[in-house]
Amino acid sequence: MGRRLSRRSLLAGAGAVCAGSALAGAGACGAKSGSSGPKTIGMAWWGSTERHRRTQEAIAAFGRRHPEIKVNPEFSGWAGYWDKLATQTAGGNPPDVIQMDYSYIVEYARRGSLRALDDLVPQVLHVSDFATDVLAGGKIDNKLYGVNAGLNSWALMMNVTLLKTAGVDPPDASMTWTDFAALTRRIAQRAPAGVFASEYGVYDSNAFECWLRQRGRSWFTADGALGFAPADLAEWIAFWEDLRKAKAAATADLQASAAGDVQNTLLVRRKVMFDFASSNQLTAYASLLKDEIALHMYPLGPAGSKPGQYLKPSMLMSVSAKSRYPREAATLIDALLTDPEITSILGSERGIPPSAGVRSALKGKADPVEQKTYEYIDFVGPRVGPLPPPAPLGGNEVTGKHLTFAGQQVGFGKASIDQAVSRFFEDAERALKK
Amino acid sequence: MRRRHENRVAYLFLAPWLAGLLLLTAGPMLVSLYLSFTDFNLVNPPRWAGADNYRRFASDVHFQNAVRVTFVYVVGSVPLTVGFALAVAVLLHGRRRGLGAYRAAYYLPSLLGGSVAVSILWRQIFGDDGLVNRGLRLVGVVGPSWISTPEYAIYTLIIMHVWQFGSPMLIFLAGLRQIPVELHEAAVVDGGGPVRRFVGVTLPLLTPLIFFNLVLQMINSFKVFTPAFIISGGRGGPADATLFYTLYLYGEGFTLFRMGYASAMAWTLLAVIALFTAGMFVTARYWVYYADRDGAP
Repeated sequence: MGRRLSRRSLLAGAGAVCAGSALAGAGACGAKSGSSGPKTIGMAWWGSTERHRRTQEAIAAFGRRHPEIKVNPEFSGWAGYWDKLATQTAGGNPPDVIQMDYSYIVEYARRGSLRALDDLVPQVLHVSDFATDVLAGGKIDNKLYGVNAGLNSWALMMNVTLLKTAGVDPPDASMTWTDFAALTRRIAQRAPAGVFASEYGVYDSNAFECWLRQRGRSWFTADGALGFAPADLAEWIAFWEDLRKAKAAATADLQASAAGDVQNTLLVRRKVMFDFASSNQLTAYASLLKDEIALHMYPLGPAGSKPGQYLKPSMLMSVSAKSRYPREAATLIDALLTDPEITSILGSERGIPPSAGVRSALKGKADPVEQKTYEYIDFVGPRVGPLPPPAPLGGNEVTGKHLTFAGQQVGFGKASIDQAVSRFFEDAERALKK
Repeated sequence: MRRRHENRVAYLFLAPWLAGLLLLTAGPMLVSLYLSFTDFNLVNPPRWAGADNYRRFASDVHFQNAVRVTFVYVVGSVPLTVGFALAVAVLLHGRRRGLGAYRAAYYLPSLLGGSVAVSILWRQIFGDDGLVNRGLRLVGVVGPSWISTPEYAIYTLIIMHVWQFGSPMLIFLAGLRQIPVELHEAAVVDGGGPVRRFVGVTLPLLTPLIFFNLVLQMINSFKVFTPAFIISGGRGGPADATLFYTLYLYGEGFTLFRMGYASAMAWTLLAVIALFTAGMFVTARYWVYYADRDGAP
């Protein structure tokens, strides 16, 4: 009895070990990961439902073209994306193809988590018709760690329908921050209860960066320190506090509820008429609203100030340093950015295509919403400044967490502007310390 | 001889669990204890930092805030949950028709647990256009977005915890069944009304279960993570109002890669929970009544 039991338990034990390792993704039992079967690569991206739909379609098309490569998609919204990627990276099993953001690329490249792609150009990655400055956005220390997946620039989303209901004409291209403040105050007197002119943009790091650049400052200096003084931040917070108190900008609690992706924004929820966003997001905004949405540049600085905006990679495509199949991963990236069929599925939802050939092929058949994005980037092109260096290590913590904290402390009346600013500089200093 | 053989079989059966315990729990825990004395950031090899991480607690206002938020949560949610569970259990105790259906219905929220779905539901209920505010609007009150106002956000999470009173309720129901009918009959004969009988008979006999539920609930509350993570989008907002200890720990470790600091936080939490649990066991001597022991109050 005892003997038989032990033999059976041995078998059961072996089965359990197999099941366990299969769960862990090792696949050691039975299945051979030989060279005969398709090579499986993972691809991760963040985005809205619209992007998930298009990208999955594109991956299916890629699968028909390359049956030897199997792509496992992993997608989520913005916030969860970085937590998951960080955890996967820490655990040593990141996806092969990683949709990367300009603000995170230094962090990942300098930590050695990304693979330099220079050796795969031009055999696998056909980027010859990408403009040099377009490619430069993915270079860290002169190595290509990410391929630009779309050009965009910040854009102030306007709900034209709501503006007209309030009896206000959409602003023209010359709007400065002062004009913006006056306009939102005017709207505040006509808007229905619970609807505000603007979102409470005090902790929108892009709006703040634009405002800083117009006065010749920047988020970060080239050597990775803060590029502005406490007085700048104090003035910025005061600007928004005035608007909030005049009910021209949303309340702090309403703004706090807008965290996350496009569907949570106050513009999509028809609570505000102006939202600080990025041009490629128009596709997502328009798919969620029946109203007419238009793009406007962020407000300008006073006469004679520098351009605040710049053309940036809306996102990049990177390959993990841990990838077993970097060549196949790069093949997928190449297809997503240059293949005529696949790029026409993706359209300009990730931004204006970086390849000149693709751009001219797609521009003709773009739908009215995408047409607006093309026109906007054409319009912005001559009005932008240079691309700032990517955020240093710890930079995201500063532009995200600590700026949000400062804005909320003041917006909820938990701290004075001066207290919030000095707290911010203390927190930022710690975050940026090497 | 035979006995030893059976022992060996038993160990074989235990082996998968034992391997899991050593490799997946004990090993990593010991490593994290070591890491808590280093500046490990996932990339560079850890450098010994002495007690620096622990000393930083004193100057980290976000840490101190996280401690405060967590204590408010524990102190608020544990007694409320246990009290509520006891009250409902007393109401649902008995043999009347249809009580089974009620018990099932009241247990349902706990089956859903501290899940993602419930947290999203909560955001809908306590959001600016949520159920609560729609109700308030009927009586002419315009409520704030409860979930994103620092003053109220933590209380919506406490309510959520209390709402999941099912498992302590179930334990109380089982306990109520165990109380000998004779004791109640004797009390009736002595002229005790329902309240007197509850205070004099039911409550003392239930104290072991009250104690058990308090300890379990306390430990779980200290470790709360999912609701705040989902509701605040992982950031503990607004303005750190729902930045629970575990949420801050997770953010420091897995978003900002300060693994040394996060490990120090984890071990501190373990110590605090152990301390509080031990404290409760000490007080238990004075108020928990075990029927099988002599001399208790």
